Amino acid sequence: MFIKILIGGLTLGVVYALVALGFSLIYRASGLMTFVQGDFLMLGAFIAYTLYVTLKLPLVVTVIVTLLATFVIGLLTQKIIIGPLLKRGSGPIHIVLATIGLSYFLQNFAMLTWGTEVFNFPSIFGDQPLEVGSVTIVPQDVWIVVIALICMLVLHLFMTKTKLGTAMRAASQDKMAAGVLGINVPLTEGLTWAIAAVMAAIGGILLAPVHGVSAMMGVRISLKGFAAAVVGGYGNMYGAMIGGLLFGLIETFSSTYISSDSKDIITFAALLLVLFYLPTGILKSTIIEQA
Amino acid sequence: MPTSANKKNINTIKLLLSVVAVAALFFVPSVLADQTYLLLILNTIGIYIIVNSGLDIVYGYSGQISIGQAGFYAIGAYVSAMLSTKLGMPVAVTMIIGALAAAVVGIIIAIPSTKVEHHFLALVTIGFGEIVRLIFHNGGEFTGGPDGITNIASLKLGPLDFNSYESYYYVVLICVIVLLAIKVSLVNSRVGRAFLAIKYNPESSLAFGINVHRYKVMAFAVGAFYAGFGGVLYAHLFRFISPETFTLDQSVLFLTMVLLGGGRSFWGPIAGSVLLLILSEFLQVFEDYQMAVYGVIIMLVLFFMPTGVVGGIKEIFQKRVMKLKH
Repeated sequence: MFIKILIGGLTLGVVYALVALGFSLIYRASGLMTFVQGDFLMLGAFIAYTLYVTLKLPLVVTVIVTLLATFVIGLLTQKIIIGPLLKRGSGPIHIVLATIGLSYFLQNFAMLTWGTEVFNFPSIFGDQPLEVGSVTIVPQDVWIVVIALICMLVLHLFMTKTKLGTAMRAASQDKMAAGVLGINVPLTEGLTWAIAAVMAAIGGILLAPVHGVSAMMGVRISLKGFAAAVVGGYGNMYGAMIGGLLFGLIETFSSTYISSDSKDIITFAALLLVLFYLPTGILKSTIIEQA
Repeated sequence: MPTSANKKNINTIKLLLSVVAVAALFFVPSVLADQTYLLLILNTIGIYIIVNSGLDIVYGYSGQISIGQAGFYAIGAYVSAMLSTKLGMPVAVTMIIGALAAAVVGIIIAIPSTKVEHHFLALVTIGFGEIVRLIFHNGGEFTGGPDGITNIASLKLGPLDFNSYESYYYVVLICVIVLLAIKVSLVNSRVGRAFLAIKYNPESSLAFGINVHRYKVMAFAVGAFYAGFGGVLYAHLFRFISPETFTLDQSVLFLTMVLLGGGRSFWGPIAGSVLLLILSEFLQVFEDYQMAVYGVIIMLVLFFMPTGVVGGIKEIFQKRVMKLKH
């Protein structure tokens, strides 16, 4: 029983972590907060649904096209909405509202394109429970955790070992100095949003067979993902991963051992407590709060 | 340059105009006597003006963000509805208790929250709003759970029963006038100037001996009181409440109204409430596309009127004056 809940918590946790990573990347690069991460996740799930279920394309093609599409959507969000707004001198609160506006737009768009119901996504890795010793394990859950962890590792390697990743980190520390050194800052800013969107879309594809696909699927996950990013240490990539796992576990364990009605109350209460008593998060935020 | 005599004249004209305008507002129901739906909208606009003017004190004047006003709105509505309907207390009393309860919770939540800033404060207030909604949602029999509370008692004062939209309109109107007057005197007082000082430069405010933390808590409590008062009026207007009303979307709507109208202003929250409510009525034409159009409008406002409608009009007006001078 315990192991089963643990795996359930980890499954949810890695998806939160993927979403949280996007929040953290964007915050670190530009000090901004966004509300569209959840809708990127939803779009990823729907695009994959269309390609895999409706058009019956092979899985590899589905994944590649979905990730490319969300990459472009993320890039366009920065180039068409966020970047121009910043140029006009909008403050962070205006960006928050703009992303809320975009989020309403995307949810409505999804409802009109795909419908308002919850669609079933066939299991990719098998949802028949396996008996391993005394515990039953659903292969799909294990795969979700493994794939998500691989994605995080790839992101880590990209950010630390490649030239482009290093350029992105440099630009997020000091835009002007990075620009002087020949780093294409507008490109790195666009890339940040694109990568955030792709991370969320991966979460969407992984979650689709478990929870189904619907236009509003991103809303709850977005809030939890954001909470995870802040609790882990806002702007810190590794903090986002830890925060995501923590929230997945808190949610699953409290819904099993306390009550499923109170799981959200407990999650948000945990969030408030961390913010009040540990405002820099579990791993310290890499960015010092600018007044 | 306007001379002092000129200024005096202008002020007298302004005062006269506002007296006439307010007096005209009292005659609206006699013109719209059988237009129940329009009267309902006017009542709602009044309630939103109260909530948003309070939010303006928090956001526009003291520079703190709240995406959790629906939480205080819910506390006001639920406390008054539960006390009057389940315990049979007189509505006039429960209305005051409801608004005060929201203010007290505002103080309790503000003491730790005002230490965090920007995005973190946004997140704290979102979390707070969600917790409040979930508590009422899971409250069982006492809060009515997901179904909420029906048949809420109407406001009775002596022989008067304010159970129609028409009679209730006067209650809302008087509350709007009183609360707006309080807002004006508050923001033009020492306290209001302290709010602004904190917003623009917390460090030097501290150096000048302003107790930054205390004033931040105060602004938050006032905003919570206004939101709670709006919630109380809402509960006894519709006489039905459910957790569905008090979602994160409602909090976003309040903030959007303030930003649309323009913060740090008397007219901003009023203009924002009126415009967005009319707009949402108009949006019903779009049926399934409503939310998309609403989203696009939010983005367009941010692009073309970042200081809000009132701020935008002022800017245009100032440009005209500058042109005339040259």
